[in-house]
Amino acid sequence: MNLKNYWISKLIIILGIFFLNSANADIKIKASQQVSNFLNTIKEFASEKDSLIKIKRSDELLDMVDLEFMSKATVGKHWKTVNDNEKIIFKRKLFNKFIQFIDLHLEDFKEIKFQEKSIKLRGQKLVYVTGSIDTKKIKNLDITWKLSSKENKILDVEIEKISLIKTQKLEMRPLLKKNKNNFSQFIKIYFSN
Amino acid sequence: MFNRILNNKNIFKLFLAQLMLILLSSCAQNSANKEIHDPLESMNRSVFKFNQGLDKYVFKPINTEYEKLPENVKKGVSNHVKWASTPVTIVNSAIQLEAENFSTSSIKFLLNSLTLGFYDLDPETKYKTRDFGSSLANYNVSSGPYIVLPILGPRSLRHFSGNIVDQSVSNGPKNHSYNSTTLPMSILSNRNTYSNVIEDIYNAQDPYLRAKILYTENRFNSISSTKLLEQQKQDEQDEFEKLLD
Repeated sequence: MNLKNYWISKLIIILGIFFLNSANADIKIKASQQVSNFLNTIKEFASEKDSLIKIKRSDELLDMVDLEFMSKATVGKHWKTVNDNEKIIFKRKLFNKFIQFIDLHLEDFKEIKFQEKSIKLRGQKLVYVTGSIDTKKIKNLDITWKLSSKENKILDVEIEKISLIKTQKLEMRPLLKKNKNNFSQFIKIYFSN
Repeated sequence: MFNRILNNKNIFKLFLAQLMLILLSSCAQNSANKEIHDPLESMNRSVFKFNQGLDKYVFKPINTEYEKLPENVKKGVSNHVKWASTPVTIVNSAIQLEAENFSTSSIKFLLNSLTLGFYDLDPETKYKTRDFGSSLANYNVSSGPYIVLPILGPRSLRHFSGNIVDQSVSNGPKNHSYNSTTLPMSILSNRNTYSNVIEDIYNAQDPYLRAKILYTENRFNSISSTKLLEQQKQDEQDEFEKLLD
């Protein structure tokens, strides 16, 4: 009887490890696919001239990123005090800024190539896809994509170890301090360029 | 006579570097803090504006022409600039007791000397760039205030004082040819390498602030120990997980 229990417990552990590993592998595959989809969509967006298709592509890009997370992470504790309307405006402007950035570097993004090097699970909720990027001008640029393992959405991008979220956060901080009680004014100034 | 003046110049540089070390050690230890220590902001902003103008009317047009050169030529210049600054890495790897970096950079320097550094004979072997500023950081000297220098751009006081010492290493006691040949190449090559970054800085809502953030982040990443960087990654992971709740 004891021997039977011993083998059952061993079997449960082995099956548990097997399922956990396959679940982890599934998360990694999905994250890798998401990054490659995101880059392909950027390429298509950069090469497209039809404005309607461009809008469609930008909507697809929007679905692949967690804009709510990005906004929360960049604005910090102030996010709690922001009203719903201002939140919507902020998120839209933040995404438009990203699209403007692609528009500024269209030629570069048309030929973007990503070489995946590793995928790692970090903690319970994050998965990092690391590799290098080649564009027309820049070669072998280290890049890390940070995704949520549950939603499989892009949270942050780290280029040459510099986090986009952190840079935005540090840029916003002094402006937020200046416009502590007026988030609308902050949005107006920050996105003025 | 010239050598005597040059030697005096080096003595002056060392004196200046020592003075800066004293100033730095009196500053608070805030190298890894998120707030960037910028007490000279108004003066820095003026110098930044001057640099921006200089870039617009001098360096950017030169870079546009440089851009037209074949990729191999640009790669050769960039390789030579890196090779010429390798003695600084070798000396500072020794100061920082980084044996592996010391041997790798020394061997690579000697090997690439065959081509004067214009062609990298061993592109697979990589080493970390080290300077006297990073050596000071390694021995816990604080970064000091953020400064913007004409032409050279953003630096921390520690980085700048390290540059002065490093220049003596690059120049050697009698070799003054380094500056006249390699320095213009270095300016050209760096302007070309970072042209996208520079463009993004100028497109920012506050270009001065973006340049300051990018410089500080990049410098922190390039001179910090693996342990410190991993700690920073862990903190960020905790913060992200909290936000995802």
